[in-house]
Amino acid sequence: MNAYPNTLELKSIGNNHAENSHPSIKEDDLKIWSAFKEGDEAAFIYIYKEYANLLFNFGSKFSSDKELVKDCLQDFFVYLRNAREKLGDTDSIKHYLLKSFRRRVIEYVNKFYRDNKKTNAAIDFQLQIEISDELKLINSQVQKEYSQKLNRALEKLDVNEKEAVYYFYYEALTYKEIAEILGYKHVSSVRRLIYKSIGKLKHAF
Amino acid sequence: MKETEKDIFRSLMANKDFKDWVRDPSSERNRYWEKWIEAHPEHKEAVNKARNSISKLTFKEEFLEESELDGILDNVISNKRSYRASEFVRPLSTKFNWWMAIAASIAILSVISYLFFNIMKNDLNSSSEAVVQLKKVFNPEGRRSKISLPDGSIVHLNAESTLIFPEVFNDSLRTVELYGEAYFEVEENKQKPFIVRSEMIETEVLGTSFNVRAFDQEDEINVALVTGKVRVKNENRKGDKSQVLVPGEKLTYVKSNSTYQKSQFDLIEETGWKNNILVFKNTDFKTFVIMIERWYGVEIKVEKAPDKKWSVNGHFENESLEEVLMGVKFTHEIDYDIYKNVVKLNCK
Repeated sequence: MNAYPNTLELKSIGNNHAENSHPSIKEDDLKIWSAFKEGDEAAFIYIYKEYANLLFNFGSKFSSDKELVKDCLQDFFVYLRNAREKLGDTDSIKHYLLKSFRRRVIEYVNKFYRDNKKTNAAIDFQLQIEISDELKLINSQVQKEYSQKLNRALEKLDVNEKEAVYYFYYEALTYKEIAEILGYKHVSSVRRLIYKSIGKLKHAF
Repeated sequence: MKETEKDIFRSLMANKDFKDWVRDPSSERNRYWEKWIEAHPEHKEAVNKARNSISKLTFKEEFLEESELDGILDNVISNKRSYRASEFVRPLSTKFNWWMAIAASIAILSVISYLFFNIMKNDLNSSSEAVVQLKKVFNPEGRRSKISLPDGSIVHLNAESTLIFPEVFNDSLRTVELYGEAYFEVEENKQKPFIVRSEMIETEVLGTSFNVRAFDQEDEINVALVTGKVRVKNENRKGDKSQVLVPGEKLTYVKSNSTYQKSQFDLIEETGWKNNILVFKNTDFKTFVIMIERWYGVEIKVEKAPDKKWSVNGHFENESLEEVLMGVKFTHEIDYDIYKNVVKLNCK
């Protein structure tokens, strides 16, 4: 009923200093990105090395076809490199890349999988818990049950909720950045997604 | 947990700074949250539960090997796109015949960024030193396609042919490059002439449809005009008068002796290919073999060529390789054996 618990207390203490706590990193991103746009090949290679695997990991959530994601990654970087002058500025390369790569992966999955008629369903986002190898060794059975329970709960999230959870907890994006990726006008829409997801997951924690 | 504690739990879970502290503690975050916890001992349970829950959200990861990443980077640096990229630019021809499927080859499209003057010298009249994105559509043997240009003009590109065109035409000219054969239906625009460059021959049009055939392995370049008006000139020989064609006329340029010849042409013979009609007209054996290979994307192994003069006539619309060879067998003594992409041919 009330999706927004009383957060007054926390807001008054917490949120303000939170979201821009790494000004130095942002400045670096601006510099690297504009060097890349001006044709600096070293900057391009840096960006590739830094983010290619992150994007591959992200793209794999949309499709289990590894070759498709690889091809998409290649075409995406070819596009970036050729269009460098036309690209917008950004103070978060990661956010910029996630946002534009997402569009492309969805395009590829639609093209190469939805053509196969069978699935008319919306695009999926595979979000699964995997316990670390150390934990597996230490306490395999209990951990396994925990993660199975959490996985079943994750399956109940809809695609947008899964994506929001991923961006927030895994990629550490801000609410504003997530709203931009998912195409919401208001940051509150993303907060609502996160709250709803926590509601659906809470019994599995 | 009490209701208020559940609220606190959820607020903490959704609090970016708290979450970042659990995930990626820094001294600044430590200071802040330790202080907060100290000030709110009553929320200890909610805090612990939230910390615990956030730690449990470790997602399955999928990464590429270093060598795979390097391989992709090599492709990127050499501007190579995956075969899939072509699916997004080149609409397939309206009819998709089964023999296209047996053609093992794939149309490759790559977007290449060249300095404009390297490719389209003519367009450099303007002061554009800008880098223009060029699209390149290549059809291997056995594949034909229909391409929409940025101005709305349509190009039917034959097999074993390449068309290069800019993503955006410049202000004064629409220039494309052709290697091989294509049929053009050009959108009329008197302000912006449309120019097809094929080897040394340039065809300039105002809004018309015509066929250009310029395979580098052939000695002739043919421009056949269906509607409208085109002007053809040899750009290597600036002194030459350009040739104006009227509908129904075809200009043949013979490369080996640099001569032009005008003639009337048969519409089907010249442009039937774009409607999936394979046309032979007094076609000699050698040309017949090349045409079949190009059309069906197969390799022909001639085990025995005909001893005497040999020529073939016929129209084959949407017919399979086997049907065509059977058709030829009616009038010519040939034997064939099709296995996968290889055809063995024996003439008596």
